[in-house]
Amino acid sequence: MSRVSGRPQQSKAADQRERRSSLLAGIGVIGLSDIEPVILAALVTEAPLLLIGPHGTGKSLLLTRIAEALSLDFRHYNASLLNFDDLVGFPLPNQNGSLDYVKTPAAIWGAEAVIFDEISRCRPDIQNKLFPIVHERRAQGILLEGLRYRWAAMNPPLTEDADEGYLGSEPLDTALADRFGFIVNIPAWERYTEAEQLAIILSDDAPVTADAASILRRAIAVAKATLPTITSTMGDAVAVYVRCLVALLSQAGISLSPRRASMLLRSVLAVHAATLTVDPSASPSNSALVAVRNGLPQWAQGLKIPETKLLAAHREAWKLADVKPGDPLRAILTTADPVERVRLAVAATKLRKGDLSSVVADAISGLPSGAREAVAVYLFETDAVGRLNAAVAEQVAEIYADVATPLNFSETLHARNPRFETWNRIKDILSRLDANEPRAHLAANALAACFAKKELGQPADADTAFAAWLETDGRLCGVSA
Amino acid sequence: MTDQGQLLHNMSAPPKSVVKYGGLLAASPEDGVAPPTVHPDVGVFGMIVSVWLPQAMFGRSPRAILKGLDLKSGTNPEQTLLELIEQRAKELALPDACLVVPTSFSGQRPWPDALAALAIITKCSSRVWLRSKTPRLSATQKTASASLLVPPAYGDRIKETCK
Repeated sequence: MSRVSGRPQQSKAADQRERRSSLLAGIGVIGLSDIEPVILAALVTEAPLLLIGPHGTGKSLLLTRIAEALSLDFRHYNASLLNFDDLVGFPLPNQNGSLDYVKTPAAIWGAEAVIFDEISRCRPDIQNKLFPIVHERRAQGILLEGLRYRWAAMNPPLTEDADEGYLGSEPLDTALADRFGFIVNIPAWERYTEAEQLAIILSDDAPVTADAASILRRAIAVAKATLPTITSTMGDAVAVYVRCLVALLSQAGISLSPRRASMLLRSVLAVHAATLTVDPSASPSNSALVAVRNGLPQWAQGLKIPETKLLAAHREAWKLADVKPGDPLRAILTTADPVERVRLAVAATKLRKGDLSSVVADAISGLPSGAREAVAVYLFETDAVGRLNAAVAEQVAEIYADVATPLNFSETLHARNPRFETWNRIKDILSRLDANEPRAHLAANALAACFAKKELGQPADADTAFAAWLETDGRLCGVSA
Repeated sequence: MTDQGQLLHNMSAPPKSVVKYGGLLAASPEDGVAPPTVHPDVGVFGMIVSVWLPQAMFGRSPRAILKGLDLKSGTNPEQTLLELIEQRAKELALPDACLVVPTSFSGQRPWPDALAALAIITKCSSRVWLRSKTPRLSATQKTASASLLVPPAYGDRIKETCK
């Protein structure tokens, strides 16, 4: 018996420790200390907040506890069951011939905070009607003057491969998702520590205490007071960071709208102001990463964002934010097209060796067959290889060797082998080249090298590689084979 | 370019063919003449320049190499030789980086001096010559010659040197 009762004792202590150190634990929401600055930032900026998480992870609890702690007049709607009349009340013609809405206790009029639970499960027509509430605090075109906080919650939507997400939880409409300033993934149960799990199991439904509510209100007030200073001292640099980040994420296939860029600027500043209230030594870079992680609309659409891509873009963008405005590196790294990046980097003769090498290494690893060979030729012909570090120069030389000198090879193939068909396609292409034209030799060698390296599996791949060569070589050298 | 292979003993097996490649000229011999920028024998794009280290310097110590160059070795022959190599490398009318190709006897030999050979051999990897690379004197223990492929645009500079 004593062994059994020992664990609750331990967990109560952990719970008390967490309550002391975390604002959210103070109001009875345990295990969310990692996202606390984001929640605080959402309260400071009053930007729409969307929580995404598995069922039973405390999304609704978090929002209702905050509303209670702040003594907000709030409405909690289940969007999957919602009729719009529930929101606005019943319309009645008035003496002027227009409509008045009969204000029921459940209607949105007069609310200071609103929670749309299960927003991903509601009918599209209802979602359309929620849009102006989330976006501009308007219902039926009428400004909801007292409404400060617009919050929503949803389960993870079904992904394309349907191996994750909830049946019935549809990806949120792109435009609606883009109106939420903060899109926060609530951790699943297995992500909590043992102490947190036990504390959640043991937690009760005790109301938010006056002390905890006061601490939360004070934290919001402090962060709100800090925000203008943060904005004036860091705003310009963070704007550059966001601009670079958006460009780098776009290169990684993660597109963000101009509106999102603007939202991210405000989010980063607000998250940093919020973080400083609990940790005066907080690093702005970490705050920026937290804000970005919790500010991507793709989460609400069931799209996966690899953490490695996010981290790489964040680090590069943060570095660039510190780069002087005239530095060519900023223009180079924010250019989406890898071939254009190489061209700009080669033209920037004062670019550091390490930076040029990074641009070239990225291009070489990411470009398709044909384009990669054309870039290697360009780097040797412009003598830019001499400005690369030795490892990247070796890499470029290896590709260039197979283009500037013909790769002699001989291979026995069955007639039914797709490679045989591919080779026949290459022969067709080579037969159209003019051997008296110098660059035709490069094109032929490039194509043959791609074939020998087994990069061209199908006849269509040969056409694609040849087209990529012609296009890239033409752009870089102003000539075509 | 494609040779029909011999029939296999198993007639139900699909026939085999040999696919070969040795350059555009070999691929389409009827089209004839190589353009000036393409080496007619080996089909490479650009000009090959070659250097040979004199027999007396191959596999020798820095002191012996300096002696072969009729230079005093001083207290630190290795350092002296490295400085001379760097100086000569700066003078060579080559681009800052060149592809290293198998040693060619048909290549141009614009620089017959031993220091030029050292400046090339000691700054080569198996793939690339880099002017900015720190010379590796150990390369002279194993390598007596090197050939570089110079892109066509730099060929005229080399030809001027050869005159």
